Amino acid sequence: MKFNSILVIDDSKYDLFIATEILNDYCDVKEVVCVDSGQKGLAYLQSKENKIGELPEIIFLDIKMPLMDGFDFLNLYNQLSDKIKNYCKIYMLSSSLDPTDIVRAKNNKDVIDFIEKPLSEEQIGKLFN
Amino acid sequence: MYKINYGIFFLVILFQINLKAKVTSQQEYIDSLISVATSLPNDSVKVVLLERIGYSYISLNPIEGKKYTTKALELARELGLTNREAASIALLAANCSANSEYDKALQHNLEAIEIFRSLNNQKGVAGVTTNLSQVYTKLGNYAKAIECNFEALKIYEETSEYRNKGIIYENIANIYYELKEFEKSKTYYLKALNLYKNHTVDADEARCLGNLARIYMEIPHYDTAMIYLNKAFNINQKNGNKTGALINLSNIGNVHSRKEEYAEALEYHYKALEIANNLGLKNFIATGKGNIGEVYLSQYKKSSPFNHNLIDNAQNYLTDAIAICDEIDFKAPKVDFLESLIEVYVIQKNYQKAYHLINKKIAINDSLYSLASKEQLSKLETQREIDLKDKDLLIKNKELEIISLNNQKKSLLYTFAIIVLIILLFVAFTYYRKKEKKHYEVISEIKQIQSHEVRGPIATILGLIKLLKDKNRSDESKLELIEGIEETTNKLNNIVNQIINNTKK
Repeated sequence: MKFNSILVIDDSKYDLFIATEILNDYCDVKEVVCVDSGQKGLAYLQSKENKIGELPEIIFLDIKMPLMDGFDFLNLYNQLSDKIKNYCKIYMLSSSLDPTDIVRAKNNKDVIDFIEKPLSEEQIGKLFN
Repeated sequence: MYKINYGIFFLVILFQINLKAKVTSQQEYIDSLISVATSLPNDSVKVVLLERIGYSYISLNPIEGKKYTTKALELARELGLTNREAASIALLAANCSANSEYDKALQHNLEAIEIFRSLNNQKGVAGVTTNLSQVYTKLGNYAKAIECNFEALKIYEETSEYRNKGIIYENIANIYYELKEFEKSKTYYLKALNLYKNHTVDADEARCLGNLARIYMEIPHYDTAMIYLNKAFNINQKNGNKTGALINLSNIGNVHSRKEEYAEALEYHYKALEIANNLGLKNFIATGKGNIGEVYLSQYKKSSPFNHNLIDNAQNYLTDAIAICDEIDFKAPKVDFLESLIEVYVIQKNYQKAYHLINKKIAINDSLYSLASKEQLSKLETQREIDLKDKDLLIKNKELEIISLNNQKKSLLYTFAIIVLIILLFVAFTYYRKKEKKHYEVISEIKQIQSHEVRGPIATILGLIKLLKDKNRSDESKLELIEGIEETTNKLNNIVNQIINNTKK
């Protein structure tokens, strides 16, 4: 599968680095956009509201982040326009093994799947190929 | 040639009083302390003052130093001040060590450690353990010395005492220097320098630069040694640290002497001697004179035709140096100087005096602990490392080592360290499980930490290691990944420590 843009939202700079490397290497993507907070992620999506073609097709979202965590992000994301929501697919990308986190993520209607960190070649293969 | 290596007895922690800027002469400064001390009633302030006098005497006159620390000790016991008692014993040990009485120093240090331990004064334990390592170094028991340093390091790891950590790195470097493992020694000096630069005062940096220069004298790479010594000298000069500057000048003289630039060597040794005379530091006067005598001897041997004034100068300076060594019972350099003076007498065909000195030298050599061979010491060290393998301390140490090496093999060691950390975490977690019935809420908190806090860094480390393994990366990029692993492992380590601390509550 080919992608124009993938957005990664994570507060850890090394996790962003890993995701970027893996996506660039094993995924056919033109651009990987990294932001280190949920706020910045929302702002980025809103800035592209009228440029649908530039929106990310895929969003990888971390759960544990300071101030606004992954679930807070999802609540606010839900209030965005349908244009955006229909275009983007969200995957939760987290190191959490807490079953409540996993169930909560999978039950959210905007979330496609829950992926365990670290992001790897195998996982990319399972998701997109 | 007697190279002065600065043993750092860092007993700063034992003192709460901040003293004013240094007085010109060390002796004047001490005298002023003594006059204050005599006017005081027998209370805790007096104990501290007596300790300070004993501390100041360490490098000047350890015999006097022993007297005052003993006084401090007696008063501390009389007043029932256990902390001060331990501090006084530690200072007594430092004075014994400076006076080459290593057996006594050893005994007193152990005594002080025991008291600090019973008081649960970790800083005290760490400080004295570091001093103890220096005694073991002097005794040639490098395995024990290294053990002490890591022991102290372990305490400081938990308290983030950067300066003290730096001093320990420097001690380890000094040990490797004695073992002639110059590469390792250099690594640790650079580690220490790094900490000093970021966290503490210039004096430490200057001393460390001076010590680092000794390695370049051995390799030998005299130009580099000179650069470091000049750097150290400038720092010391700027801060008015006259003793430090003196040591640097003396070592610069030694470099010139090695390069057979005798005129320059003499110039610097004379400068050093002048400072030592001004400060009234007898041990440095002795080494200064001895060094000058040795330069004259070397200069004589190279002179053609032989210049007999030079050999006479050598005789005078060496005789003076040995007399001062005798006066203050300064054994270590005396052996060197005696050896040179014997050579002088042989050149002068004064065989009777030479014979007399040979006997004297043998007597001193017997009284000093002879150092075992390098191989045996290395073996001891290796054995020690194996013994320590079970302790997390070594893991910590290995981590530090690994960081500086950016190759595949080393990242495997990293994985090992991480596994042990995980096991540690598991142990901590199991411990929590046992308390489950009573503390359900604690468990859920730990679960939270477990799933988020701990899994996070582990996932990051695994991801970084995968990147490190899977790809043909440039060394620079690998180093970045290793830095990432280091940073994240430290984070993980802190979390584990936090969990362990929580379990203690």
